[in-house]
Amino acid sequence: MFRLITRRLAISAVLLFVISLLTFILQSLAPGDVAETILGSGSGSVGRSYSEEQYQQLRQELGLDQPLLVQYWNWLTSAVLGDLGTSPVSGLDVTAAISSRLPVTLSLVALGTLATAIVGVGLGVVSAVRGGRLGRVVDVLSLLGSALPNFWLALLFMALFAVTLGLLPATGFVSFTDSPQGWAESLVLPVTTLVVAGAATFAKQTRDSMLTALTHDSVRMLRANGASEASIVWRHALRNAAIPVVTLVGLVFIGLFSGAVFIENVFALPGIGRLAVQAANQHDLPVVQGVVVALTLVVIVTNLLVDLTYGWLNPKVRTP
Amino acid sequence: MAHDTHLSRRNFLWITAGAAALSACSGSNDTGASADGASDDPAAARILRYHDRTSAPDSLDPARGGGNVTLLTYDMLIRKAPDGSYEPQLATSWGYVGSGNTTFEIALRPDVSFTDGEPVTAEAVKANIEYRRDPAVGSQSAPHLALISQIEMVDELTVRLHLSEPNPLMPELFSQSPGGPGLLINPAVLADPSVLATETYGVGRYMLDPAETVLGDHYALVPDPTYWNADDIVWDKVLIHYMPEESAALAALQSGQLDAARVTFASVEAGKAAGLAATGPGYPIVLGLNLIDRAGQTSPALGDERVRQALNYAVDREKIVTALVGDSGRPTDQLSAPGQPGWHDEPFYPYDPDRATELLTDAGYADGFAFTVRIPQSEEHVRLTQAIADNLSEIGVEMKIDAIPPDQYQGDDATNRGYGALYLGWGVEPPYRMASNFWLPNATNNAFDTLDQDLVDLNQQSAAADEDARADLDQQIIARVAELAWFLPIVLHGESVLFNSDVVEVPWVDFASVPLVSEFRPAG
Repeated sequence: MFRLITRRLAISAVLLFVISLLTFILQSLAPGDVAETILGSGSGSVGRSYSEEQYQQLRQELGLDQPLLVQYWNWLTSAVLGDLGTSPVSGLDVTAAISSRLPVTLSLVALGTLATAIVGVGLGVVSAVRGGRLGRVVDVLSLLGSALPNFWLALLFMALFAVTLGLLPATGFVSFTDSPQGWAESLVLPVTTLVVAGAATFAKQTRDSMLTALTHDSVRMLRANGASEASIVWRHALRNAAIPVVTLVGLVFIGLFSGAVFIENVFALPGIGRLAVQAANQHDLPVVQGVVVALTLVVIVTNLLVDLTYGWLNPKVRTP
Repeated sequence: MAHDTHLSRRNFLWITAGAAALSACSGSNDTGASADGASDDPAAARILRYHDRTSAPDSLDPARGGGNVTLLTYDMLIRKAPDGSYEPQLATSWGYVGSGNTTFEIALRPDVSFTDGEPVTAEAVKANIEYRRDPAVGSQSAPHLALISQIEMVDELTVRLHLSEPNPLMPELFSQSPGGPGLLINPAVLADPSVLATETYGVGRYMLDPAETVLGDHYALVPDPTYWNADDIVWDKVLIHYMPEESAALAALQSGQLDAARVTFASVEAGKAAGLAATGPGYPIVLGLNLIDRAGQTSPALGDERVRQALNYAVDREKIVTALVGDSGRPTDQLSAPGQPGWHDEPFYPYDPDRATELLTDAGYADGFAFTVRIPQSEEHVRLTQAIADNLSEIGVEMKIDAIPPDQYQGDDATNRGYGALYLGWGVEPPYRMASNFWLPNATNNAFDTLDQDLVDLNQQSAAADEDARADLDQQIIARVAELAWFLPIVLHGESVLFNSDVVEVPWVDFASVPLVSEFRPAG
């Protein structure tokens, strides 16, 4: 296990380097630059409000006239020392900006993954065990959830639960320390939107795995020994079916980070997704780089945890 | 096996607790999300919760704009009121010295201090001008401030600006003009201006409350106890939100999470139907096309004035405006707006496709021609451009549309000579300022550097003219621009404010009004 973790961490360092370099190059190759953003900001107009001379002077001030690899090297040498730099657009310290935004997104994604897994696994088990008409109803409901447009669903929830019933806030985020109740209320609608959209994937995977597990010889043996059906389903079959589901948990957790961009926009949550999109649109390289590094680390840690969970669920995986 | 069940419950608690702990790490990110959070209850205190726009200001540095947040945290030298008049704020008087608009003097209010106790002096005005002239700062006002050749300190509270050439718009420049030096920054921080991006250092009614602010998302402002005019502090707290989706802002307004929201035409009717008060539209923006190829280099036909005029006659503006923006706009064929300098009540180009065909025939293009327009790819811009293209096709003109992702649009549009036309979307300004952006040979949006000597002459006269004479010159300039048909203006539209009239009053005068949150007052 120690070797596994050590090997993963070594690969992660290389991965971080490659991804940060690729991001830097791709972002730099995109038309436009941050000097245009700065000079054009606030005008709210379609057209140019600054001269070419102003533009070139600012590019020079920002070091954008230096070769690309020199710019990357400058960023990398600071980043290695823990300094992700300052946004030339907003003036924000990148580490501070990410630190304030990441917890919002992690709250959303962690709760979203948990709720999606609970609902999806529940639906999948019911569908596999009951089958027949109930199974088909569960299948249809879960597929309907994934087919409905997220944006429409989010606005529908907002209109119903916030505007009409007044039960929940339509937008915004409250930190747990300010108000635990406010925190929970602010996340109900965003998380529910994620669950409705994502539960179908879990349900289908769980159903398929459960159907396989329930036909296993060991299950027949348990039945022959008089074990209760509930015990067979929840203690034995579900555990055997859990490995592909755990993989899915990891994938969904990572995937929700991209889905979070949309949710954060609709529900006006100040998360890292909004920060990333805004930074990319503004050609704000330090922020984009910082977000990419942070999210790459999240992916690395998640994958490591998934692998460790495999070992816990299936001792065979632990043996070299 | 009981062990498994126990672990499952424990995992659940861990994950929930973990998510809560993560949230706690985010600090005070309260956006007022709680539907009836005690601290944000407007009934208990005079609290204004306002959605400004879908994107937050890049920086809180007034030299870079800063939007409504800076208007509440920085007093301006000269306040531009909703009716367009100029009123004293930090300056008690101002005006040109002598004739010719080459010397401008500002007298400051005595006994006013910045939040650190430093008095507001003429030196502060000088430092603010010099700061914004630095190209590294990226202020939009830099080209205008470059005209100031000497800053003379008449006394501690009076500053006299000597200009290298006449400029008739100095009062505008020293009002709340975006990026302009009117919003006075404490000169003490200009030695290290990086702090201005995230903190506020003005003479202001309110101060930024960092504990309740998430930069880029929402800004909490609380009264400055040292402010010189306590009567002007009408709110106990102001929360300015920037929600990426206007539909979400509307839902927040309807559910009582917000008290007011600045919205586009798309949300006005829905807001009214929901029982919200609406005012506007204001802050006129002219939309249409900038026919940049006036020498006919990409499409020879565009080099003929009659052809450009034909394009203007061929567009049914009334129909397009009704379909696109409804009551939130009005047709226009000129680069001005009602109530603004240079506006003509009578249209220059009423819809007349027969006249358009006649002009095309006279110019030798009876069979039509083709040209390409470059536009930013957004629904609003594409719909308008497509509507224009449909109208032009009826007189045999094929307008091809090259839609560019918005974040890549601004890059080379001012110098790109590969197109016959560019999209035009511009907040209406006085003709003298529009000239430097659009129709002087070195204007930032005059890609082919087209020269019209009449316009240059009129602009020079306007630069040195007094107010009365300039009004007439402005009319002549707008008429000359229309006659040249260098543009294809279609619609003037503006933003509106939806609000809860039980909480807030939003002053409004006419189409030229700008919905500034600094003018909002508690209801009753």
